[in-house]
Amino acid sequence: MNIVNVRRVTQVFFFLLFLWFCVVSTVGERWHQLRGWPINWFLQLDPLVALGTLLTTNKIYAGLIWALLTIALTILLGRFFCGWVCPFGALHQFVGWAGRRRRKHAERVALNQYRGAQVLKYYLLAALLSAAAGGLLAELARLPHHRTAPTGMVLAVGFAIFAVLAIRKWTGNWKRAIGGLVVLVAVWFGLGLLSLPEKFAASALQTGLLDPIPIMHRSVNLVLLSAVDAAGGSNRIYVAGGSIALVFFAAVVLNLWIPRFYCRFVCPLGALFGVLVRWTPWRVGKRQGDCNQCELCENNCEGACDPFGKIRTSECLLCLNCLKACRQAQMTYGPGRSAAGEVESPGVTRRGFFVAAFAGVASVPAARLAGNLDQNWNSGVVRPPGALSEEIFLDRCLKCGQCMRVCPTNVIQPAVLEAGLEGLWTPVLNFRAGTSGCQLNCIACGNVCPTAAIRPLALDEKLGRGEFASAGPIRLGTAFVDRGRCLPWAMDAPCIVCQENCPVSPKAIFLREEFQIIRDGTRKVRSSSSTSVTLDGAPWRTGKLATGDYFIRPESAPEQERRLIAENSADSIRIASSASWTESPAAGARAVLEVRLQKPVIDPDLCIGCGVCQHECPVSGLRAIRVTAENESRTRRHSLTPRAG
Amino acid sequence: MRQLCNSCSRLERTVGFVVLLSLLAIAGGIFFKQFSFNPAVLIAREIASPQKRAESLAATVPWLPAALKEFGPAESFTPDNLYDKIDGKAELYLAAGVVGMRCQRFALKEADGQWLEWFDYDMGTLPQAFSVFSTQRRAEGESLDLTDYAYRTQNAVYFVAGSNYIEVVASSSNQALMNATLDLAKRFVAASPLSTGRLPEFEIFPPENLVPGSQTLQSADAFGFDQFKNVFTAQYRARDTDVMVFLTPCSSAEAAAALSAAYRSFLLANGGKEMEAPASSLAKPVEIMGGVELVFSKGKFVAGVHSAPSIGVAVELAGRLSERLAENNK
Amino acid sequence: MNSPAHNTRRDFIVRTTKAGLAIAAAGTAGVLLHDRKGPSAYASAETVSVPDFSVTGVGRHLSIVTGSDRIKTVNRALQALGGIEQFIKPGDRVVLKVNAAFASPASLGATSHPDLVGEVIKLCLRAGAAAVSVTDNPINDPASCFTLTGIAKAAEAAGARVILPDAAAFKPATLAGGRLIRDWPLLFEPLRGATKLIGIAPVKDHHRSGASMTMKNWYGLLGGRRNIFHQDIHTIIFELAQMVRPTLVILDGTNTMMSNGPTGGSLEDLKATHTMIVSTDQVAADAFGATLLGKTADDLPFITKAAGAGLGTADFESLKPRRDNVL
Repeated sequence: MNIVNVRRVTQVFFFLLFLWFCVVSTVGERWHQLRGWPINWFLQLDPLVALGTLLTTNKIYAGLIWALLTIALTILLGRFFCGWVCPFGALHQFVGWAGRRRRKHAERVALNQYRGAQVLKYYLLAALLSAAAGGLLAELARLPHHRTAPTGMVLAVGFAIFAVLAIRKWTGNWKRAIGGLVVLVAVWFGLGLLSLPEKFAASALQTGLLDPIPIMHRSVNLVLLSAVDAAGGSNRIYVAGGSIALVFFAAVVLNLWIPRFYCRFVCPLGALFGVLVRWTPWRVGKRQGDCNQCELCENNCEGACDPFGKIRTSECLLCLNCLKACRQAQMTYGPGRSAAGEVESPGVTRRGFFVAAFAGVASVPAARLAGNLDQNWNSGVVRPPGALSEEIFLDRCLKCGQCMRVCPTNVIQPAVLEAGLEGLWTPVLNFRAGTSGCQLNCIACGNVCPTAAIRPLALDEKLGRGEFASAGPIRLGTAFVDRGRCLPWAMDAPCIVCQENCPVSPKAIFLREEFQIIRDGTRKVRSSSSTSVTLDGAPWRTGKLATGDYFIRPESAPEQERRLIAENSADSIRIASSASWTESPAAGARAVLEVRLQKPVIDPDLCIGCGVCQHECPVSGLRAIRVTAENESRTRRHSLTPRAG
Repeated sequence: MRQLCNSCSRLERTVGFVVLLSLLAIAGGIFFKQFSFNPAVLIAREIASPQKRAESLAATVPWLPAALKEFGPAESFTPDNLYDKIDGKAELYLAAGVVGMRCQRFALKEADGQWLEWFDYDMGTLPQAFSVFSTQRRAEGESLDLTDYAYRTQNAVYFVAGSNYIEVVASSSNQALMNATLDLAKRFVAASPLSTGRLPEFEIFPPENLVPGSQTLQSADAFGFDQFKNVFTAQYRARDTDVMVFLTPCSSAEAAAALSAAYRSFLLANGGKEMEAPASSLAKPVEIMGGVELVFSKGKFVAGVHSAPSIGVAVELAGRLSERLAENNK
Repeated sequence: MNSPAHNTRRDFIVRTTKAGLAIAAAGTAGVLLHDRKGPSAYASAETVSVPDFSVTGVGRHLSIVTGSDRIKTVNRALQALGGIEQFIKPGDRVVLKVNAAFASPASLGATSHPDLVGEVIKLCLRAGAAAVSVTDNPINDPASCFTLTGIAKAAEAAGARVILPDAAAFKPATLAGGRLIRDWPLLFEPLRGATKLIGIAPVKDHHRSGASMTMKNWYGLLGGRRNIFHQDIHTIIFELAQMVRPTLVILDGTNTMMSNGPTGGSLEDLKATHTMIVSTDQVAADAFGATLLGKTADDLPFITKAAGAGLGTADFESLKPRRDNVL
């Protein structure tokens, strides 16, 4: 059994498995639906997800513990995930192979040379993880605040010792180490005491932007599968789908220029693996320093790790192409180091690392200068049911699109910039895009979220029943009637669509009935009988007043004389015979035509912000009733009314 | 130490074998995992199942009178299992296109053993709701000012609310219980914005001598004639007896004429005899089973008189109906 | 000993050991930090609760001193309760929660009077307090409020620090069993490390709650969009009184705002009632304060609620108030 073929089989296996998990992400119990398929398994195996959320939340959520398996195997074996498991990697490998298939040997070797720019991915990793660690830094800087806390003192002493040792190791000089520590402590106290640590350091999880598994998930979920669905007649739309597709296809097409372009230069997950393989017991290398220099080993080298010369262990993807290419069996995968020597370091410079880390830490408060998380929050950002409050939501959301794919009504959409720069591609509800609002009895999004950015709710909790009765239902926001656009409020046109569609019981929309004299509705009576009246004035379209909403009464008569119009012609009106007037309007007197309006009013105590009303509103452009996030359950700071429970 | 290379085939085979075995193990693990359903799927199943817990009426509506308390859980039924609740009577509702039914018992708080049951049949449309309402209308019923179509008997209230047909049946004619029953119905109507609505076809019937509350809508097989669907009928007082007048809309005037002729043939085929009629008659009456039948078409409507005691009555009623139809067609 | 094979083996063992240690470290960290349950509904970073600042063993007392000079009346009222030394011990860090809600001059009676604030600061420092700070989360711009009411000047002159509320000063607080104060931002940083808390409030009419006195004064500890609580004002005052157990409350009825509260705006709104109340029982203080407004405790549901929950007594006479006057 050829090990390269085994690798190919494995790659195809995981690639198809990944596609399968994306395909089945629709609620249902048929074999090709959600059932119990572990659709988040790849995300859970992804240690960048686990590490990123660990830094932002100090916890490893449920299934993310799978990442330990990947970490352990990587430390032992090398970057097997990149070469054998990663579906994004498999795709790149395939496209890269197709692109160089007809090239000459020398060209292929040139394509697969190590390039200095491959270090870029380590800087990206440093930046992303520093951004995620901002909250921890703030926590550290806050230590001087807790003057009495003994744990704080212990931590501070530990931190100081660690810092001295670290600086000592870098500088190789005790004096400079102590000096560095003094500066560090001064800066630390200065920042901690004089300023607000929260202002200059906060955590944000942005690994999902570049982490290959979330990229692959959102691209397959939202771009590829929606194209497949469209071929099947369903029309799922994704607001930011274009930008997601752009990133995905750009990454794929770049393989035609340099194979595995994304993996070699960009992938932060690969960089993390590159760090982890420093001590791998087993590795690829040459048996002897010199060989016949055919360079066949670099012909298909996926990692561009220079197996011919000094192999760069941190770049080797374990594709094992070199093993099978070498005619002299010079290339091996075993416990020994390469006889031609190794380059262990990924090539990260201290200066570059600090620049990247500083950029990462600084990017979060910079992105938050807009105040999106404070008073300038955007109430247009309505998050799915069970979403955590915005700051801790952003600490967890990977932008993987699982919730958007599983949402049965397509109402969960990837945000463009409405949730701020850092909210790009995070899930927001868009009641125009979906096929309805958030369904009352659906809890799919939270139950597929890999990181609990959207908590897994039980239906009882979502609806505020049973043990959750005192807490009330989960509210996504509140519907507001735009009285300037609403048909009955603004245009005297009868409409109760929003009230009819409100799924909450008792309904959160109630109707305020009102009789309004219609335009030119006070008219002189030409003639009349007990059930019909002919009026002066401009003619009407036949049947216009016979919709069941229009009434007529003599101008001088009280409300009891108001009669429903059964029929109208251009100038005459008939009322139902069963409701005939005892005294019909006198000729020459005036009659008024009234419309009965039922104006929708929202009860903020009952509205859960599901958005069904907004979706159904007949004012099809900018809806006359719209849900915004005021009163959302996830933070009390946006309360509209004092909440029960 | 052992290592993989281009010529170390035995080790390579072993490694390859181990890898493929782990793929199998993974596939197997995933296969077994998919049987433990995601909570979202379990909930979807619970919601979709016909035995779903019906929401308590009291929980869903703010209109339970103070005198009443819940007396048993709410139940709900689909066309598939409506038999379980009302047995053979389900036929009537199924024929009229019932969508679903919810029911619940309520009891008087103050008196033991005094209870009522609320049946809410979702009929899909107003005409279908009216149809089951009218075909079951109790003769001794007394009209109620509740919705456009409502009446009560000694121990029950029946009404059409929008596309729903509602029966509230009390366990006795006890005054307090009936008050609570009426109160319940009123509160329901007040809380349901769509509880009103009339059938325009009944506006066509001449109002003079109309027997109040006698309107019916027969959704199929009216007068035993299988082509008569959606036949609107009403009774008229004429010389000490009641005579039925009917009306059914067709898609076009031609269809109406054809249906009218078909019914006429049906009558004649079943022992009817043509009678001579006065010049004013719209069509030749048919005598059948001791009554006079007169059918005609006018515009898109087929109309007529059913079982009149005499030719005179039939011709007179048909004439008035025809006038109303002519007015209506204007 | 130094054969290449030996070196290779040694290198391999070293790497394997390091790899093993790394896996063990990652595994341990992973297991320790594993969170099976996931986040709960309100997963805030840090929630705080207000400590009990009341002095144990003193009990509920009330003193009512009439007179037009705040400095004299407050001194006499404190003496009647045994002197400030009963409450402030050497080394105490005292926080004065004043009412600086509006940027209006002291003469309009909408805010705590600077003379009174200054005098209380001096008394605290004289009793040996290590530090005295003055704070409030006003409705108008904080800096202008403290400046224009004259409180900032008086406080600094007397030797106290004014703590203006900034974003970091608020921490989410939850009142156990509370309905409204749940995960709500509370002006907490000034209270961190404090050992005593004194509330200083004027007697005012209040459009929503009927009256604004010592219990309503704690409303100034709330942050966020607290005006939503105006929809349920009595409950929020009641919950605040449950949450905040002060050392003392000082209710200034020298000039009572009889109408157009809580802002007033005209001297016509004020009435010279010439009374100073000092109490360890905020409910009793407010119940007496109500009489200055021409109301009774029964007119003010928040007093009834607080008394009903045992936070104090609405029947202030039962505390046998020590009455005096200084002319």
